[in-house]
Amino acid sequence: MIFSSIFFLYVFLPITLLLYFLMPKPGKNIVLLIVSLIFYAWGEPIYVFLMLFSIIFNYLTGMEIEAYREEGEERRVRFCFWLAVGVNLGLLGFFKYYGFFLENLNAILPFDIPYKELPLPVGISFYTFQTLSYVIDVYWGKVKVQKNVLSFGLYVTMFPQLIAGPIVQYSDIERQLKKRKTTLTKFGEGTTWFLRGLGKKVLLANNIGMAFDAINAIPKGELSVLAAWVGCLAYTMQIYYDFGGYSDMAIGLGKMFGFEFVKNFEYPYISKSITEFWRRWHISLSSWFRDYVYIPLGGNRVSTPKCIRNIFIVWILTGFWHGAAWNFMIWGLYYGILLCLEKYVFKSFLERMPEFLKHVYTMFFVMIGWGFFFSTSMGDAFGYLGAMFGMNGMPLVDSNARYYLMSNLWILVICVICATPAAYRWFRSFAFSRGKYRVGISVLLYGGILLLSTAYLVNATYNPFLYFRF
Amino acid sequence: MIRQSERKIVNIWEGLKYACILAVLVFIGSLLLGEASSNASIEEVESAVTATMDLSGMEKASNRMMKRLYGLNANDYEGAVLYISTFNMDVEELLIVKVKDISQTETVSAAAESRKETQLTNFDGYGVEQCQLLNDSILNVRGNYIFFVVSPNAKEAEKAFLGSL
Repeated sequence: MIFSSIFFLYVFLPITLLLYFLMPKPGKNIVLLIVSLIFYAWGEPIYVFLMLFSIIFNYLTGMEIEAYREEGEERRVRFCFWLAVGVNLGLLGFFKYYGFFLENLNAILPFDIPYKELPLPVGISFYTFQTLSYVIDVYWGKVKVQKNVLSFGLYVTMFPQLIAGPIVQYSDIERQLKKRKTTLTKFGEGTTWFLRGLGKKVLLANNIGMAFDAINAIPKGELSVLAAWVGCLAYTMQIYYDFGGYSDMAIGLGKMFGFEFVKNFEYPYISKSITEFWRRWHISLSSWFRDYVYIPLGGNRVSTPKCIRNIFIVWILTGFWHGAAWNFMIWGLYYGILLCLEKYVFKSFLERMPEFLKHVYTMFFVMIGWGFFFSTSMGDAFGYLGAMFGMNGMPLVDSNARYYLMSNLWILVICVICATPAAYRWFRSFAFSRGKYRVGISVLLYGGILLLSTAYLVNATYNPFLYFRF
Repeated sequence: MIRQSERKIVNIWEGLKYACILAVLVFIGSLLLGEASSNASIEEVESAVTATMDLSGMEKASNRMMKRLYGLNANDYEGAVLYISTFNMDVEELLIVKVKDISQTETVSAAAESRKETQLTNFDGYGVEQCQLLNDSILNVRGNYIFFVVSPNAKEAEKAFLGSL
């Protein structure tokens, strides 16, 4: 089940809200846990078993670590910790990478090893990182052990962030699991977050995504330079509004139930460097890698070669986290190289650059990066990137390019404007600062988003969600 | 005494933890024992299937046509071939898709079902033969392959498809 579906909007969510708010305080977590399991089982009836395993196993690990620590048995504590890390990463690795591993092994072996490719359990990359964050924080003594299995289960399964994050670190949510406030103001704030996210996903991402799909379906040898860039720009916008919109919906739903999740996006496309871009894009993932990989490795408080090593480890892992394919690995490596160059080679040069050029530079490399990301293989990636630079022998502009540019110009302009904080500032001042008409205008605007999104969802068959596959 | 009872509880947790690991291993094993993916290339499957069909009134469609008729992006899959009738009053079609990820099979099957429904609506009321062919069409999902055929030789084509995997 995805948030941007009629069933979720008009059946699942209202019933969940009703049950949640009718239930007295002590039972609210149980309601959320049950509906979260139903939400997950709706699309993954088999893999819900895996999730239950993850809950029980990591819960018991936490309890054991605490018990052994109290008895001063540090060797057992370490064993429990590394076993949990191994089991969690082993499961993620198996479901996500075993097909990829065997496929590559078959390519070099003189014979084929038959294998069955298993479907990827939805959200496994997200909830595994969450359970790891809990086990690591307990091991480091950063958080207290969660003794209530239902609260721990809720942390792992909470449906707003279950499918596509934000990746909630246990330390951020520990208190909220026990005590949180649900006020009408917070509920209203959550609703506006949810509706803005819904609008981004349904009205912007889905529409611009159709343009990208159409251009990407053209054989790479027939793509003109402009058509390739229009396609890449369309994807650049699609992935931002798709994932950013979904994250906003998750944050909004969290607020409705009294939770505060970390922000996952902060206008990434206004960045003036790649470093800044990654401080604004998928913040919860970057923070996870920073807190649990980069800093434990020494971060930047080590010698330059070791710091470079740390950056590359983090970025190869980031690429690998996104998917079992070489293009994701290259995408991660690409950002590792860019970040090292920014940090150690071009830092002063970039600082002196005019502001406008900084934006152009950042967006240029971000878009090239998406070329690796949206491609399904390395050959496909180089074919598309080659077309963006005219290496396929096609002209700069052709009729296809003109058609796709002109027919999507408006949506592209709207997407670019909405990717800046100015658009939201304007929207907010319009929706919330009109004296006595304030409420009416706000309801009208957000109601409009809901109505338009519903109309779109009822009619359209195109409603993909890109981050489902991660 | 208290220490001993606490130790007992910890031992129970430990036992439960290992039982969980065992259960998940059994679960994975049962998943793996199911239908396996095929390593056959899409070209091999395509040539085996097309050998059983009369392609004189059909042509291989472009990726764009696949997108238009089925809403599928050929680049999203490991391989995808579509044959369509050259004459628009004919309904013969052949779609073979090799997916990258088993979860894609649902999308492809739904696209094939939807195409069949659209064609049935198009020919409903006047294209009796066409509707008959569409009703006799075969959609088969085997591991990482999806096969959809609308043809008088549908059964032979399906047999060739299964044999080529």
